[in-house]
Amino acid sequence: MKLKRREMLVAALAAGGMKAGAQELETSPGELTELARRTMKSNRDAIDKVKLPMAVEPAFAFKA
Amino acid sequence: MAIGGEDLFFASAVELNAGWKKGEYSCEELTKSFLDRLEKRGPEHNALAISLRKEALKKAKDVDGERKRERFRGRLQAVPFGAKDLLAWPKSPTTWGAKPYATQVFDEAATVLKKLDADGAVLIGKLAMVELAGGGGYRYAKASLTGPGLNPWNKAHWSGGSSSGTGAAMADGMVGFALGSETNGSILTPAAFCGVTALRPTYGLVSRAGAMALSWTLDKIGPFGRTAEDCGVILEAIAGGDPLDPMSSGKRFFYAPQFARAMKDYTVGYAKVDWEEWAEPETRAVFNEALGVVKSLGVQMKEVELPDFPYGPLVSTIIQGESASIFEELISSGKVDELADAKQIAGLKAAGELTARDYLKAMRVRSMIQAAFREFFYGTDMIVSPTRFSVANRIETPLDAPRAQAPAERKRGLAAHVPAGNLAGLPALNLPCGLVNGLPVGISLMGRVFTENALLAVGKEFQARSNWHKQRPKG
Repeated sequence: MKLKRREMLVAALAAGGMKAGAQELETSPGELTELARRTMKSNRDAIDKVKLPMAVEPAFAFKA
Repeated sequence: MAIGGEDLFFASAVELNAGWKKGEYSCEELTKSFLDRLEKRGPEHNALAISLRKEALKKAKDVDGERKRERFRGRLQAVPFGAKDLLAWPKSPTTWGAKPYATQVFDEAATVLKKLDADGAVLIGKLAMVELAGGGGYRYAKASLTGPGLNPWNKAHWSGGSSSGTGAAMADGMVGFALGSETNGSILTPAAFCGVTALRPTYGLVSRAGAMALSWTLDKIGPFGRTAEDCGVILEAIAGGDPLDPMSSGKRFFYAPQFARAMKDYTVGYAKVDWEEWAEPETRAVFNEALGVVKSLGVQMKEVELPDFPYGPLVSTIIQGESASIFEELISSGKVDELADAKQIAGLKAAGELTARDYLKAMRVRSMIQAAFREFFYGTDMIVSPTRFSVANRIETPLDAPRAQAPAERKRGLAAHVPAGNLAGLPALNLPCGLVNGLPVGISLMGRVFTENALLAVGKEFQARSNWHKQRPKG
């Protein structure tokens, strides 16, 4: 029986104990690129909440 | 049937060396036995990248010659081992688990492999891995040139990554010991999922020269062994300063169990929420039994929680920034499209859009994390937590699939110890602690920088009082 890609994904999610259809995973290159960008933005938002004193320098050292 | 029967494949590296020294078998016999097993069972688990049979047997013959001359080099001499295929070894491909690099050959061996070779250990094969150590963020276990790593305990489940072949090869007795690497979980995860003892060393203790870089400031190479003792012996062999690694700490490591403190002099931090809420329900009984063994060692237990930082977003940002630069040519040439995992391809491409401001901010917060952990470990020698809070997922399950139900609000405990420890460069030791529905789980001990001997001392005592590290998959 030939399954469409989305049907296979639903079956896989069900086999893995996950609720299918609650949130479908991104699959096309465009969708995955947008996912990557959203993740980068949410990472930035989370990091921006950290109070960062001006005197704190990055965790690497350059020595001449 | 191999010399010594099936048990030989599950002997510790120290035992294998001792047996060879006593003349119970030759290095050639030992190497051939392991090679036969690796070449047969490696492909069955997608664990083998390449066998190094011809070279290994030649080396084994040389090592036997040394025994005749009583030229003894140390406790890894004559022991067959495997190395994650991001470690360069000349005259054979070093694939990085990725199609675009499937045929690349390096002239020089990685420093860690040169050291083990000088000690008389016998490299018998390169072990499979997730492509490019998964730095772009992958969705499926099959994100690899060799396909998904199959767990020897249940081949419908993943062996974990990105050191997927290393975990499987050790669990199934295909090698006497092995090397893996970790940027953010790639030693601890396959070790936990495959029921193997493994050590993530302090950042900078082991040279990265000759290893594929995923993130210059996060990458660490570490040992997988049968026991905590094995991990200590292997770490001693591979650690040390290296002018070829600009991030090398310059420190050496001497495995010194004879100087271990009494267990009552160690203070171990833990968080109840890890064991009672973060751990998946079906794992809690096994994890709590393991915690009971830790407590029975006589260590001082203390409730703690991690300093409050967004560890996941920070480690992702740093990996993205550094990998975007490391793999710039791969991405700009379009060869990134040859990778197996579509999400990883998209992630690597998007990583080029990360701003310098965001990367530098992450690295500045990282300085705060280092300072916070220096304070955190004042009065605490190490922490203990489940390494992963569930067993290995099924092969086909997307690794980022949304949960059926959002987890309830819960305290942070030590749940983020993997990204936190990697950001701070801290060492951690995975100790197998039993099976849940036939699949292994493990606990991690994590300590302040350069305290591997303390972790190994507690780990050794834990393994003296339990047998989980000796369990082996059936068949």
